[in-house]
This record gives sequence, C-alpha cells and structure tokens, in this order.
Amino acid sequence: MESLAYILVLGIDLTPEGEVELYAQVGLPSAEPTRGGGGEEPVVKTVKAKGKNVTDALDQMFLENTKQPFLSHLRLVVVSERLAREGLERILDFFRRDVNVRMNIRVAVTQDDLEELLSVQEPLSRQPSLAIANQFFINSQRAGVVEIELMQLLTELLEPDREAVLPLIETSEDRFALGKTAVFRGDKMAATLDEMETFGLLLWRNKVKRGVVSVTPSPGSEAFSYRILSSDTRITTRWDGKKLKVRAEVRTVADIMEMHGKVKGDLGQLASRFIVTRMEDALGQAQRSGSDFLGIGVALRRQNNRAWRELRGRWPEVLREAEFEILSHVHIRGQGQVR
Amino acid sequence: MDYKKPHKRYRTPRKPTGIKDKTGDLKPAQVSANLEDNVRAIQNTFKDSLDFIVRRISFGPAGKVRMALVFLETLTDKQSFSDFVLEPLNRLSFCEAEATKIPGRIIDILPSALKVEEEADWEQLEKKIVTGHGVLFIDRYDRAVVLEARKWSERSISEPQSEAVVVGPREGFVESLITNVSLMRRRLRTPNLVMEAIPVGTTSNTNVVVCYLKGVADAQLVKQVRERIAKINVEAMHDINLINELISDVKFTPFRPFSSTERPDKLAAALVEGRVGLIAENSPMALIIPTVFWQFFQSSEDYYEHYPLSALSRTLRMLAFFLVVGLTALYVAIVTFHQEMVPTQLILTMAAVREPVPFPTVVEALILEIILEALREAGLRLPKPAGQAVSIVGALVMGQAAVEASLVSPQLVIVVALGGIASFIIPDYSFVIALRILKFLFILLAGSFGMFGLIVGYVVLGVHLSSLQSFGVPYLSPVTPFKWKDMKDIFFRAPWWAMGKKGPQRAGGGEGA
Repeated sequence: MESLAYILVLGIDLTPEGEVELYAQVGLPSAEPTRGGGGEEPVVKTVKAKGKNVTDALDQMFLENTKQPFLSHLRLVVVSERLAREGLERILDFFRRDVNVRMNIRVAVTQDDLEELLSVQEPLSRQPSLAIANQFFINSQRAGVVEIELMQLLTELLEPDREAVLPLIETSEDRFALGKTAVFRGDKMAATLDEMETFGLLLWRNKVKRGVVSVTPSPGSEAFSYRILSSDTRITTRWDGKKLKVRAEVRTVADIMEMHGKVKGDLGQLASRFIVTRMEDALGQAQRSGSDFLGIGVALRRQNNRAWRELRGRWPEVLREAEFEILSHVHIRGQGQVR
Repeated sequence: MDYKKPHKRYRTPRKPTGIKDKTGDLKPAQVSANLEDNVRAIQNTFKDSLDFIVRRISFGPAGKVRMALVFLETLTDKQSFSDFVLEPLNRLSFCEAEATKIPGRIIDILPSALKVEEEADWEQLEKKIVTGHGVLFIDRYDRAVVLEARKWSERSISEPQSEAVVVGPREGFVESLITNVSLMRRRLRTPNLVMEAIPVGTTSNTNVVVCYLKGVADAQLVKQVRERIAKINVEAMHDINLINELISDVKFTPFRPFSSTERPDKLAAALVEGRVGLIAENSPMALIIPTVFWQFFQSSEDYYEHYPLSALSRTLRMLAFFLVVGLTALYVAIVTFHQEMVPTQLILTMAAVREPVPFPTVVEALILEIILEALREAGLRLPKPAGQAVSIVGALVMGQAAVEASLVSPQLVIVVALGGIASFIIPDYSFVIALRILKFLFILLAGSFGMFGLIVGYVVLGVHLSSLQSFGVPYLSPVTPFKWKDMKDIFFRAPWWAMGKKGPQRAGGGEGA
C-alpha cells in the first residue's frame, strides 16, 4: 500500500514531435492530516513522463519514480485540446484494456496548459482531484455541465448514431472553471460550446433534471429566475423520403426563484422562449460542425431503423437540411416561499 | 547327646481370604460376621486417612451388643449420627434374650430420618464410605448398615459467570450434583423428568446424570447417550466438559460438539425441546446434546426479552461471527492486495501511517492479534482488580505506544480491537475460542492470497461445518439441511405467540421431540 503512487488525475498531452506526454497528479500520503495540524504542505505532486503511447509513457514513469504508479484511484483524465483535435483513438485503447482503470472516471478536455491546470491548489478543498469530482457532480445535478464517464465516452465513440462530447475544464485564477463543452466528430474535437449552448445540449439530451435559469425577457429589462423541478425532452423524427423532420418537445415544471418589478408577458412563455433559443443555439453548432452530438441520430435509429440505415452515410448533410420544430412548455407551478 | 530341637510353636498363618484390589491390598469380598475382622479390614483400607473415624459402641445388658460405626468425618454429618443412631440405641432397653435378636432388627430400630440400607458387598461399602456414608458393623451379623448422612461444604448458588444476563433468572449451577438436580426439578415439575445417574471414572466414581423428558426426548438418542457414557474409560472425571471429547461423533474440529451451560433455565429449555442434558458431580456446568451451530448464537435473554429487541442482539452476534473470523483478515487482504477497494481519501491517510511501519501488514496483524490474545488470557487468569489493570495497560498504554513507535498502524489497532469487541458479543466462550483460532488461519490466507484466500477459507469452513454432526444431527441444521418449520429461532426469534405451544420446538435441529 505504501509503495504505490496513487495517481488521482491524469493529464495527457501530445508533444510537437507526436509523443504522448503524461502529467500524473499523485496524492501524497504524508501530506494527509493524520494528527491535526498541517495543511500548508502540498497534498499532491505532479510527475511527468513521455513515451510513444500511454503505456510507454507510464513505463517511463516507473523508471523515473520511487513508487509504483497505481491507476485504480484515478478520478479524472484531462486531455489537451491538441490531443483531442488529433484524435482520442490514440489514447483510449489503453483505457479500454487496462484492468486497473475504472470505467466511471470522468474525462474532460482542457484548452489550458496541463501542468498549470494540475498545479491549481483548490482553496476550498484539500485534495484537488476530489474537488474536481465534486464540482462535476454538483454542476451536472444543476444542468451546468456535461458529465461524461469513460464508459459513456467509449460508447459514444463506438456507436455510429451519436457523437461524443466532453466537458471543457479551465483554470480561473486559483480554481477550476467548468461550463463549456468540447464536441467531437468521430474521435476528433470539432468545436466548443459556450455555457448557453451547453444548456441547450443538455436539453436536447434530456439531461436537465434540476437547475436554475435566469431569463432576461428583453434587452434592458430586469431578469427573472426560475428553478427547474423537472424537465423532459422528447424527440420524434419522421423521414418522408426527401426530408427529415425533427420535432423536439420539452416539458418543464418550475418554481419562481426571483423576480423584480413587473415582468411583461406570460412567465411560462418567456421561459419557454428561453429554452427554445438555447436549443436552437446548440442545434446551430451541430449543423455547422456536422456533428450530431444532440442525439437526433439516436432517435431516428430507434424510431425508424430502415431510414437510419439509408441515411447514416450522409448524416451531416441530412441534419443540415432537416426541418426542425422545437416546442417548449414551461409550467410555473409555484411562487417559492414568499414570506 | 541327642540334640533336642528347641520347641518352637509355629502359628500357621491364617490363609488369606478375600480378593486383591488393584493396589495389591487384600480385602474381604463380603462383610464378615466377626466385628473385629470387619474393623481390622476397614482400618487397613483407610489406615492413612486422617479423617477416618471408627467409633465403637456397645450397649444392652453388659454391653452384649457390640457395634462399630465407621465414616469419614470430612464428608459426613457427625451430629446426625449422634442424634439418629447413638441416641436412639442408648435409649433402648431390652433383656438379654432380646439382645441376640438386635442385629437383624437394627434397621427397624433406627429412626427413619436417615436413609438406611443394608449392604454385604465389601467393595460397595468402601464406595459408600468415600461418598459420605457412615457404615455400622454389628457383631454377629454378616451385613453392614449404611447410613446416609452426607455433609460437606459447598458453594452457594450464585449468578453464572460466563452467561450473565440482564433479563431473566440469575441462578447458576453449582458443583453439588444434588443442588443442580434440585434446580432442574424446580424448573420442570413433572414426573417425566428423568435423572439417570451413571458413574464415570474408575477412580473418581463421578456420577454423571443423564436428564431428559420422557416422551419428549427421542428414546434412541437417550439410549445412545447412555451407551456412549457407559463406554467411557477414564481414571477420573473432574468436569463434565471432559465428556465433550469422549462421546463426540467428530474428533478433529475446533468447534465443540456439544454446548455447555451454567444456566438451569437454559438446560430446562433444551430438555423441553427434546434434547438430553448431562450434569455431573463437582461440575457447575451441564452439557446439551445434541448441539447445532446456531445454538452458540443464542442466549437465554433472547427468550425473555421482547422479540424485536432480541432480533437485534441475534443479528449482532451473527455479524460478530464474521468480524471475529474475518475482519483483520479482510483488512490484511485489502491493504496487501486490493488497494483499489479503499476510498481515495482513506487510502492516502492509511498509506501515510503505514509508511514508517517496517513490517508487512500480515506480520503487523499477527503481532497485534497475538498481543490481544495474550492480554485476554492475562486478564482472565489474574484476580479481577489486577485483570482490569492489565486491560488498561494493554489497551491504552501499549496500543498508543505501539502506534507512536510505528510498530503498528493505528487503523490496524482499530480493526483488531473491533474484532476483539466482536468476540465478546458471542455468548458462548468456547465457541469464540474456536473462532479465534480460525482468525489466525484466515489472516495467513488473506496475507498470502488476498480476497481469493479469504473466500477459499470461508468455503472450506462452510464445508467443514456441514460435515460435522452432533449425535447424528447435522451441525448446520436446520439451515442445511433446510427445515422451514425449525427456522423460527435461528436468525431471529419468532414471537412466542408464533412459536406454538412448546416454544422453539426442535428449533436448531433437535431430532428428538
């Protein structure tokens, strides 16, 4: 137990020479507070290694360290944008085969320098890897971030009817920032989504269960906020031989969280319009990048398999020309506790 | 000159009569009609016993009727002899003619407060003397009168030490067989309660009482118990637990074939269930036959406490079984082989404190377990106040010092201590000792093969337990072989109203009901 180096976060980059570079954030046992006190010493140490592939780099890590790298406690794999654009295939084979790696670890992409990212000392928590894991959990619960586990990433990459997405992780001063999303076409990163588009993506994928949304009805007016209590998205597809018709219907139940002055218009309709706009934004990105990360292909494959088989070869084109109808019904159920 | 041989009178040695006992002493086979012969013979047997008393009595006209009362004063009540033998005889007045008839009528003359019988067999007489009887030899009478006036110091009935309860009766068996039998009679007031005494031990002649309820216990089982006890060939039997090994079906197992109890209420309950009990002289415990594995998790309290409350205790005891046998082993397996099973934060802390410890976890665990066992034994044998001091020194001072000296890691101290506490949850002391032996085997298995070794250990343990039998009853019954109707008192005790009239009848596989 004491002779193992517990790798908690693994950063993977590609050198300009095309080598795989690993940044392993190792939890330091001695830095853990066992008898009160402490707290000032670093709790993690990042070690680096290069190699022809992930296995080779890990092997180098063995040679250069006094402890045996141990991957069973890995919480997060962060891939550099360079590697993501180059293609994930290069590294994923290792994770599929290695028995020590758990399938529920989170995977993310970063546009920042990996070494810098892994040296962030999160101020609210002692252990950065656990802090990131918790940050992912909290934000995925409130529909702020896409949370992708290794198993899901592999499925999305292997299935022909869907494209993968990964959360973008950034450093913001002394902490991590989440909210943006990297979308893939095949195993290569194709585009990024901002926070609003990410919310749209989550609506399309029916991953919104809870969360708070702030809507500004018109420029200059005061925003009102509502809390989503439940949300359900249904996508129906129809292929008439010439054109794909897609209908997305979102049913949301919400409570008012905050409201100032008098809001012009029906609250439910204003909220619905906000939802539709977010979904349209995400759809726009999907059409532009030619990557169906929204799950429309998944819906067609299940609803009309024959049409899917016919269309899968030219799917980006079909998606671009498809006719979309996005509907949203927001039911404002309560006013919150007005005391 | 004729040499005249000096006249020398030779006395022809009297031809020895009687039989030789195993010490080589010659003894008469029967009581003689000559008082002096009898007294000489009995004095010869007990010549080195400081408590042997011969009291000569003569009464009647001119002291015509001569008698000798012999007894061991440490086992008998001298006052009884005085009150019920000497006094009544002195008060008698009869003429010379009548005096000759006295010997044959002595039993009629003596008051009936004493248990009186006649005996002619010499060996039996000796046995009677060593079991606290007085023997009255009468001149011109070839039978002796045996007077029962046993009295010796004995412990009074007290609360059982090893089976203390919060709810329920507080009486425990004592070393006196008669007291123990009376404790049982008081609990089962039925003529069907049979108490058969079988002497065991060629030298000790200890009475072992087979007790059962006629009509409830299986006759075949009772017969088998009787036969096996009769076959016991030992010199002395000092405690009932000796029988455990002598009459068991299986010879090689750490588990006791029969459970023993200090509690008369527990034995009474077992008899009602159709089991057979064994009580012995000089032993404050009773054996219950047959015994099944699940009995070791049962305590008398379970039956007196409200049933949902007893379910909690029973579940805890079952859990304790796994904690005692496998907790330390599980820790060793995880730390040595399966580091991925520990939560990240915990493993970093554990690794930090393990770092300065120089021994592999399995050695560390064995050291701590041996210390724990030593402390437990030390605490047991010492007088109570000293025992407590040892526990405190052991637990607080040594534990803390060992951790600070980096000899052991603090997590292991917690694990071992938890296992130690769990061992006190199980009510049967001997059963826990068996588990403690297994614990060491499991630690070695876990240290060598990890979780695989642990699982193999449990499988082998399961197979072994399934192969055991207690007087023909499978040790794991009624769980395997499964009997649904007997499951009411295994993992939980069913409410009394759901048990039926006789309570947990045959629960635990008692075949006899």
